[in-house]
Amino acid sequence: MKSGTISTLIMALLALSFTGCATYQYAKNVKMLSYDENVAKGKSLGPVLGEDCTWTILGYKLGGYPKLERAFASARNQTSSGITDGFHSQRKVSTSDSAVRYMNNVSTEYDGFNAGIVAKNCLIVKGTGYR
Amino acid sequence: MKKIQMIIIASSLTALLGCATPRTLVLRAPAVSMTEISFDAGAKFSSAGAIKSRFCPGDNASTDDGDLNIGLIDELIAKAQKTSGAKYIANAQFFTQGNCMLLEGTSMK
Repeated sequence: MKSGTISTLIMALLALSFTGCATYQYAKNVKMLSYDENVAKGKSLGPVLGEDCTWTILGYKLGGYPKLERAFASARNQTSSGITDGFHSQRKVSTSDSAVRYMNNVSTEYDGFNAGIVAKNCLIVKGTGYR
Repeated sequence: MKKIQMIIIASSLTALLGCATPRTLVLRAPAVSMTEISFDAGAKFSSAGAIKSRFCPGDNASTDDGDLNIGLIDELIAKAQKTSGAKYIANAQFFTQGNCMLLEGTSMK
């Protein structure tokens, strides 16, 4: 086998291994995500966090999988997740003045626990909030 | 001959089913940007038309900073802004379709 062919094969294998190692998440560091059409600079609220969780009790899942839109709505309203969240398809979005208007440096991650009889799986949204 | 016809029909059905992968709306946002964190109060923008982008695992990632951890929404917005030259994308809708994610919105300049 020619040395050129071998080096091409090695390069292809390396490229494949790098691609295989890549991990994907919904958002890693989105510069700006606004809940409002008004994108003018606002007042900082500091770090904000929102979550949407699914509980599993004795192997029975209470509702569907955590949803991105509900986690973002939770971040906007600054509300914590409840055990019945999975039963609701939508979460009410607040339009009050205290609600987050836009977020900077937005990231998402999965979190939770499994204690055998009860488990919790959450989709978490983090960022810096502004109103 | 019949076997060949069956194979062709089965292949066509598989291809059709592959194209018919449903897309699911996962997030709506009135404005998103990967280049700006906010704008001056008096800044004015105008719509430059509809824009779409698509990102699938394995595609070239422009926002990857070397840790091989890639944000799908980051990539969609960056790709859409790069191709349209938009300051931000209004009325953004994010969909999942199979392993891929899609963005539809309005380019704002």
